[in-house]
Amino acid sequence: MKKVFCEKVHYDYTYFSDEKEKTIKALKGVDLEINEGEFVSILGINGSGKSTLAKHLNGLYKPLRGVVYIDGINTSQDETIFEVRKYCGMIFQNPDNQIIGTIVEDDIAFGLENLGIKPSEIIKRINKSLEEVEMLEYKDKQPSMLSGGQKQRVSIAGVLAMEPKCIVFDEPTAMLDPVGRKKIMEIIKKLKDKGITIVLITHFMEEAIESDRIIVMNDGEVEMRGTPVEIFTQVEKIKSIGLEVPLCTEIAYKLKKRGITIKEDILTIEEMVGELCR
Amino acid sequence: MAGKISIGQYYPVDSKIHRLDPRSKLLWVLIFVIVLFNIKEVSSYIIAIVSLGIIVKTSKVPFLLILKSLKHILFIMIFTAGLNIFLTDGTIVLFEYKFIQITKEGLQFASLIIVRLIALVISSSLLTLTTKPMELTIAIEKLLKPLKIIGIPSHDIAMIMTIALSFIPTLIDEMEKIMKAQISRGSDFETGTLIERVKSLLPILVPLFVSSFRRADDLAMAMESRCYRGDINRSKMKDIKFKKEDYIFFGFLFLVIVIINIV
Amino acid sequence: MSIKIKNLHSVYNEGTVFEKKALENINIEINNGEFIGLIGHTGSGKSTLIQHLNSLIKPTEGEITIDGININENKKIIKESRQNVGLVFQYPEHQLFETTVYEDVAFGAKKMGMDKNEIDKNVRESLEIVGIGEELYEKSPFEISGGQKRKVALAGVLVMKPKILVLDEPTAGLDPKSRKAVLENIKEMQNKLKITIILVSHSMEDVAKYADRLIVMEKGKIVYFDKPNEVFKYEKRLEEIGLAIPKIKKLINRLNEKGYKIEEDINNIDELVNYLERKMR
Repeated sequence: MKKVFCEKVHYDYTYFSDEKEKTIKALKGVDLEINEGEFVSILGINGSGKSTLAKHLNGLYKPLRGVVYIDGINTSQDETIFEVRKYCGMIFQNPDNQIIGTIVEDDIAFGLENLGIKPSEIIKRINKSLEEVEMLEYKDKQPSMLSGGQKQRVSIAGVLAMEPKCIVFDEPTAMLDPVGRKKIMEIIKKLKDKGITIVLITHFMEEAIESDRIIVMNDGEVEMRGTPVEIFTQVEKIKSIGLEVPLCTEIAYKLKKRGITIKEDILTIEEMVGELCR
Repeated sequence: MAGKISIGQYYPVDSKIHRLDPRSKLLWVLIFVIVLFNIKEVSSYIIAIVSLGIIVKTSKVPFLLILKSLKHILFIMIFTAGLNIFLTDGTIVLFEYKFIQITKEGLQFASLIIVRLIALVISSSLLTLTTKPMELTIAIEKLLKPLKIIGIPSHDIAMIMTIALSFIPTLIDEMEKIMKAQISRGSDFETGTLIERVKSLLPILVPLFVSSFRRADDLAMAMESRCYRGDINRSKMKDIKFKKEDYIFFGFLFLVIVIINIV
Repeated sequence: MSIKIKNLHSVYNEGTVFEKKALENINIEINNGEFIGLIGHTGSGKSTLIQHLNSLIKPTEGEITIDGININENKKIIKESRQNVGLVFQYPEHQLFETTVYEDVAFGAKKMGMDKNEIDKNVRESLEIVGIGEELYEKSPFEISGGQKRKVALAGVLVMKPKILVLDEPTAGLDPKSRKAVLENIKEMQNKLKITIILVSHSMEDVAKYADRLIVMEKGKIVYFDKPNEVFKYEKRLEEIGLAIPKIKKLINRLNEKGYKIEEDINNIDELVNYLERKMR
């Protein structure tokens, strides 16, 4: 079932510079289909339009031209926008700018209160979702006392409590250190295993490797689509876009180019060691 | 995370005062302040202070912690006291040097002002020490609710307070960072004339404003994505209720006011 | 300029219940013109350490000397040493405030009391080093792109002609392309200006290629202070701290465990590919 569906989506930003109105075409006719339960990464450098696309997936932005359907609902219709947002939650880049409340549990409650859920159920869901991100012991803590990674986990719990079927992560690890980053990726994988559709916006190729499918954005358009192996084995193309390929994929590619027989679909160190030590 | 300031300064113990409906505490502070500024007799003051003492004692908040909050207004206290000592005209002169004159009335008036200020600060800090910030915003929202008819948006005011409260620590952090960055670039906030010092704040205030706007944008988006739409069909996890303790508390207050009026 | 840190201790909120040891017994000597990578994860004390170099935090105990002079000696020396040590904070673009790019970069130079011609010369030089062209000089620093903002902020520190440049996570939030560009730019800068560089990061991957020596910190203490290849020998210990050695080192270690004999000083992918090619032909 195609639960996330974008067709020929266009989006422009207008701004004023030197007293003239200027337009940036951020999305130039993007098509996107994501199945229920899939884990899709959207890769691209800064300014490629990947974040703009992400914000279309729960109706924060509405397409200038084209359509976006989430669970069969057109995001351009104002009356049903909350259905869209309930279906598809969103985690943003900056952990400081998405927590509302002076203590952790108040933040988780925020979304639930917006849905008009009754207090006893709210308390149940707070515990459950904090448990899920391993932050239950911080329930009464002030968010400002937490590390960036912990704040990000609280944000995930806040979305999770609303029981969405799909979560869009908009560069959730960009401002975290490696320890925090690893933890967030673990949680994302766990949520995928629970059947939640995951859309991960990132420019870290290590994170994209974990996904079922990768979409590479460049200059407002979808440049490539495919599985991680299909994408990263196109070493030259990925590099020309300004992205990285996994070290071992690049080694295999370079060896192959020199006429060495080696498997090309190598992504990880383990796979490389396995191939070289046969 | 050095020197983190905890805003709201909630002191987490369980006491009768902590358990009171925040609305009661809020109203108490209001009434107490009004009373304080309307009494003149020393005996009335003693009774008001004693009643405050009883409430402080019941709250189980260490007195030292409350005294600490006075530190912030020390300057204002000295300033107003000084002003009153030197500028109040009186008949009984205690001390005179050139144009400076200290009178008995001046001293009396100054000490009165100081007592008022101290009691004011103690009572209001007791409110924030015994009430979680979130409860306080709920209290304000509920107290303002009747004013909705005349167009006062009680929910919005409470939401603004909530956001402000949750962002104060972040902004303080940010300010510290920007200050350090500008000091490294040669900014000096400690020396110079008043105008120079005010000017030297610009490199801090401009970035702080810019970042606040950016944060506001981000936050608005995050709130929207979590289905926020004002108070339409909104539920509340935490609610506040008037309980038996609150009636007892108001009984006590009533008694205090009656005694003050008698003596 | 050389830096010498002797028995440095730093304690926050000393004497209160919130007392916290941020740095414990730090001893470092950094030579003139060295490129140092300072690595540790959040809370390891690396941020506290670099703020000491600019007297933003004063030592609780111990001493920091730059070219033999105690930087906290008196106010005058503090000011001078702030000019000598340029500190570029994380997300430096957040400190921009002037009406034009040019004015913002000039701010530090003005504050250091340089004369008009010198300011103009330095502003142009530092903007050129970071790769900002003249067409942007009169633009508002708030309407240029994110990458350009960061460059302008960096120029705003370079304008003071520091002899030591300390950068806290200069690549944070950037994509791979810009990350590489920034790091290359810093290396180039070092070669050209012959300055000492301290690059703070939580990624060995980024820093390894450029640094002469690495300082690895954990919980306010120095764990390792050595050449990158020496530090990378402690893969297990580093992983315990939450730091990963560069992928290429990891691959070499795994292969050597399986009987390969790859030399440990191989650092880049082409050398490794050459080696593997010889081996597999």
